[in-house]
Amino acid sequence: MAIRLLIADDAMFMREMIKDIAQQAGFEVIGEAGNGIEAVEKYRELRPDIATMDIVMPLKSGIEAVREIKSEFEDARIIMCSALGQDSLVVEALEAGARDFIVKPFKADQVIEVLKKVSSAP
Amino acid sequence: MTKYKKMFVEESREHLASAARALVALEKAPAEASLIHELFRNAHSVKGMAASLGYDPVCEFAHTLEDLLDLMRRGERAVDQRAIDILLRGVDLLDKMVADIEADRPLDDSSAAAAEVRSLVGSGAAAPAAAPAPFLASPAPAGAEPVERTAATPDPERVGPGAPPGAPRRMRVSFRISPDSVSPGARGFLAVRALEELGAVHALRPEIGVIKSGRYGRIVDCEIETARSAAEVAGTLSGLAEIQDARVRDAEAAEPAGEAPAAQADPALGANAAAHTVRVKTEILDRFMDAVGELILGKAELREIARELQSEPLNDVLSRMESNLEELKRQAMGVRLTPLDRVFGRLPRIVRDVARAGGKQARIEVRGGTLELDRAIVEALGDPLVHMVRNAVDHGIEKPGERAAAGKNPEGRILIEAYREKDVAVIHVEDDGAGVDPDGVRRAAVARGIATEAEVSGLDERGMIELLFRPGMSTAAGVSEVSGRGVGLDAVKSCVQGLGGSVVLESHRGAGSQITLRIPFSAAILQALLVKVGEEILAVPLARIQRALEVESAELVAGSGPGAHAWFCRCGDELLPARALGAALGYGPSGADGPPGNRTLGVLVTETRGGREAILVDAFAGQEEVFVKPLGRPISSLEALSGITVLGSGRPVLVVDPNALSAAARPARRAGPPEERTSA
Repeated sequence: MAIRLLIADDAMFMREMIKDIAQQAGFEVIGEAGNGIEAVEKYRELRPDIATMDIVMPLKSGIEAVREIKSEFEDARIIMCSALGQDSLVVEALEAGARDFIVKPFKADQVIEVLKKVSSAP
Repeated sequence: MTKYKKMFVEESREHLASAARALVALEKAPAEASLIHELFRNAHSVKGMAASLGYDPVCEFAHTLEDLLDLMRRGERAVDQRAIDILLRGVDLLDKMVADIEADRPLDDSSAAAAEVRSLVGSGAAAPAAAPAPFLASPAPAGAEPVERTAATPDPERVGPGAPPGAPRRMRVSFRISPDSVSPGARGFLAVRALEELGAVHALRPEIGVIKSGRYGRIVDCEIETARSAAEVAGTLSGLAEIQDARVRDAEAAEPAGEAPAAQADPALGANAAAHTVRVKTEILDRFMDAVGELILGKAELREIARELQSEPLNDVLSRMESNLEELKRQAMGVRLTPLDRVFGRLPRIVRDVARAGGKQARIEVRGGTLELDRAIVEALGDPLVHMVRNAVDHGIEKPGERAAAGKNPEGRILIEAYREKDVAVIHVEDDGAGVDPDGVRRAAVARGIATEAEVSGLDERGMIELLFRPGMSTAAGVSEVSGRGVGLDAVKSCVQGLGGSVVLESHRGAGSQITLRIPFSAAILQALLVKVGEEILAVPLARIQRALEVESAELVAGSGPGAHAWFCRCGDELLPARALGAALGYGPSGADGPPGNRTLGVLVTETRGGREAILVDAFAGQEEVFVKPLGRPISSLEALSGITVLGSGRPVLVVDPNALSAAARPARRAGPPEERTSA
C-alpha cells in the first residue's frame, strides 16, 4: 500500500512541486493544507503516514502546527520544509517533534530520500 | 635537468616536512610502528630521487637515516629521546642539503649531525630496545590496535541488524556537517539525536546549545556508550543527509597521538595513494580557470536565449552541458586546492623547539588540516602561522611552575583549528596561556615611540590590544631568541589582508588568547544575490549575507539623538542599525532610504566588524551563480565594489561587498561588543 502524504505549504507552487516529486516516487498525496490551522485540521481528519510542513505559514506557523499535532498524535511523522536562513527555526521544529527537514529550493532526489527515510524509520 | 631539480627540491621538502611531523608525533607515541614506517618511506623516497640525480651526499645520508630507522623498526634500537633528537637533526641536515642543491651550492655532509647519526647506527646494541627511557609516554598496550571505521569502510562482519549486540562500550565519534549545508544547526542536532537513539552520548563538543545555534566549526566530537558496533554507529551517521567523514573508534584503545596529522596516517592509504601526481604551473591553472569562467558566462547567455526561443531540444542540450560544465568547474577549482596540512605540518615541530628553548611545556592540537584552499593561499599562510604559533608559545604559554601556581596544567595547549564557513575559511590559533596584558602593550607602544602618551590615554582595553597590530610591536620584555625579530602581528595582518581576509585577536587575562583568521576561498565563481537599487541591479555575494528578508518601510524605527542611526530595522528580536545601500554607494535617493511612503523593502543582514547591520535595498532580483572579474583602475579603488560580472541576460552588474562599505559612509555605531576584540 502506498504511503499516504499530507502537504502543508501556503504556496501552491511549492505544494505542487512536492506533490509531483512524491507521486513520481510512488507516494500517495491524500491532502493539502494552505495554512497552519488547516494543517492541524487535515492531519486530524486524514491521519496521514507523513506530513510535510512549511515553517512560515499564515494563521498558525508550521512549528506551532507540529506542536499541536504531536500533542495529539505522538507518533506523527512530520518533515519540515525550510529555506536558507531558517536554521534556528528548523532546530525549534525538530525539538517540537519534527523528524527531519528538507531545504528549498527542493531537489527531487533529496526530497525522496528524506520521505523514504522517515517512512521506513521504526 | 633544471626541471628535475625543481621537482626533486619540492618533493624532497614535502617528504622532509612529513618526516619532521612524524618524528614529533613519535616522541609522544614511541610505540606507534606506523610512524616509523612513514619515516622510513620518507627517507627512502629522498634517497631514491637523490640517487637518480647523482646527489650522492644526500643519497648516502638518507641511507644512513634509513639504516637507523630500520634498526628501530626491527626493535634493535630504542625509540628514545636521543634517537629522535638525532633524527630531527638529520632531517634538518637533509633540508639544508636540499637548499644547497636549490641554490647550486656545493654539498657538505661532514657536519656533526651526520657523524652522530652514523655513530648511532654503528652502536645499535648500546641502547637496546628492551629498556625504554623513563620519560616516554605510556605506550599503547599490546594488541590494543585502535578500532577505527570510517563510513566508507564498514566492517562487513558487524553491519546489519543480525549482528549480535555486545556489552556496552565507549566509542569516540566524530563527524562533519557538509560545507554546503545551509542548516548546520539542524543537521548537527539531528545527528546528535540519532546517536542518542543508539546509546548514551557523553563529552559532546561543541555542546548542544552551540550546535543548535549553528555557530560552530561544523565538526562535532563526542563519546557514545552503546552496545552497537562501531560500524553500526558509523553507518547510522553516514546514512544522514549532509553528514561527512563519520569516524567511530574505541575510546578505550590508546589514542595514536592524534595531535599530529602524520600520526593519523591511514593504513588504507598506502604509499601509492600519494604517488600519482603531476605538477602543473599555477599560471596554467589560472588560465584554465579563466576559460572555465568564460564558459559559464556563455552558458548563462545561451540559457537566456533558449528561454526566449522556447526551444525544447536546445534546452535539453543545455541541461546536459550545464552538468558537464558544473563538473568541469569543480575540477578546475579542485586542481588548485591544497590541504592546509601542507603548512600545519610544520607547526608541531616549531611548538616543540620553541617550548624547549624557553623551558616550557606545550603541546599542539591540529584540527581540520584536511581543509583545502587555493595553493597560493596555503603557501602565503605558512609564515604567518609559524609566527603566530611561535608567539603563542613564547609570549602566551607560561613556565610550568607559573602555570601550576595558577592552577593550570603545567603543560600548555595550543589549538589550531581550521574549518569552512560558507565561502570563507576560518583558522583559529588558540592558546591557554597568560593572555595579553593591555597595559603592557600600551607602555611598550609608548616606549618604542609607536604611539604617543596622548594617543593611548583615551584607549579602552580593546584599543590597547589593537596596538599589537602596529608595525614594530612586541610585548616581550626583551626580544627573545625564538620569536624572531622584525616580524610581528602587523606582518600577519598585512599578509591576511592581502588575501582578502581579516584577523581578529581576542584575549582574556590569565586564560589565553585566540587569533582568528578569516580568508575567502579562491572565489572567482560565487553565488550572488541580485538586488535592485533604483534602476540599478547589483550583485552581493551570498557568503557575505547572514539573512535576507523583506520589511515594510513603515516598520522601520527612527533613531534618536545626535550621531545615532537615522533608522533601525527589526530583525527577529534584534533592532539592527539600518542604512540604504544606494545612499552608502553614493547613488541618488531611492525608496530604500526609509519612510515616508510605505513600500516593501529588501533587507540584507550582514555582520561587520562592529556588529550586525541591516542594509536596505529596493527589491530582490534573484540569485545567480556569477563569475567575478576584477575591476580596473580607478574604479578598483572603491573598496565596496569587489568586481564586475555579466548576468545571463548579458547585463553587466557590479559586485558589492557589504562588509567593505567605507567606514566614512558608516554612521556612528552603538557600543561595541563587550569582550576585548581587535580587528584588522
